[in-house]
Amino acid sequence: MKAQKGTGGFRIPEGYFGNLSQRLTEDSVRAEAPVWPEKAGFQLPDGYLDTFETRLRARMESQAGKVRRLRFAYMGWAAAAAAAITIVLVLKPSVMEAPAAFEDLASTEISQYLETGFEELNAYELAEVLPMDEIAMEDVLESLPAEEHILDYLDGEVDRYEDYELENDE
Amino acid sequence: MTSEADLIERLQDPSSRDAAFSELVAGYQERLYWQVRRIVLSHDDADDVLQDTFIKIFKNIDSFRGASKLYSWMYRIATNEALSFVKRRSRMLGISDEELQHQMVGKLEADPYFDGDQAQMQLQRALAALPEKQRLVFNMKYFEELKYEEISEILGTSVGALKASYHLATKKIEGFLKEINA
Repeated sequence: MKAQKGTGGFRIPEGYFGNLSQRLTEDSVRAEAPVWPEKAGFQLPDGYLDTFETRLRARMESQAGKVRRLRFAYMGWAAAAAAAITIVLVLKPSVMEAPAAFEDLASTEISQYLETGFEELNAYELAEVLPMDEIAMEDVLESLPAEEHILDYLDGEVDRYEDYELENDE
Repeated sequence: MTSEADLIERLQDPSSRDAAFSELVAGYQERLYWQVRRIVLSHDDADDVLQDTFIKIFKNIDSFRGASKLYSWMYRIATNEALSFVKRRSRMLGISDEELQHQMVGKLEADPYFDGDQAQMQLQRALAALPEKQRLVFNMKYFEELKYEEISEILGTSVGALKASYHLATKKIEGFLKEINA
């Protein structure tokens, strides 16, 4: 150690300032670094890794077997479902019957409906109810009028026909 | 051709798959085991999850297209399998993931395959108190000494976000340990 001029008699170790920066960095790192264990403390059973692949292969094979069994299990469920559906069909046939068609109705019921269902409708209401787009002339008339009869009818009704046209143009 | 590319090619070829798979298991089982073990903590659970991981790798090797390194891809599968395992268990027990973490750490004291001292036990308790992502990043960085770039590829998170996660994790662990040792 040596005394320096102007230090008031205090002395410092040789090379103190030369490596101060390095020592400060080391101290800083030491202070910041937490004192944590380097290892987590977990252990492996002896020989675990040596036998791992054997156990893995055995499990893969058993899983392949399970897949086959699973398929049979699904087939069992499918059979049970099919049996249940059959029972439902046998015990409740009315539920599964096709909806009654027009032809299935008794003719008396149809007649009754036509007589009671439409008797309160006037011609205008009846026209409103009937789906005209779906009804052809043949559906209404048993035999179509001859062409000359239609022309005769129009000749006789021509005035009224023009009235209709005028009304429609308005 | 690199050895990894060669291994992948043999894994994807049905005629050489079995032998290549043995090579793959021998080469990666230990590293994947530790990744899984640090998440599920118990050896028996780690064994189950590691087997599930390799089965999944075997079944999906044909879909591996080399977008990442094989190791990163397997690491990601192992991590996902372990996290799924923990979530399934917490759902089964009807408790939160956090509660399950504390239960898992509590069981370590009776675990024959854990011989950690008090400091290691405290560190595990501190880790259990961390959010899942921070715990993962801390384990991968501190214990496994992976680079941020590697962790980034495995977790699909930016390096910057990983650094922030690690910093937060260390601060929380310090705080936790100071508190319990005060």
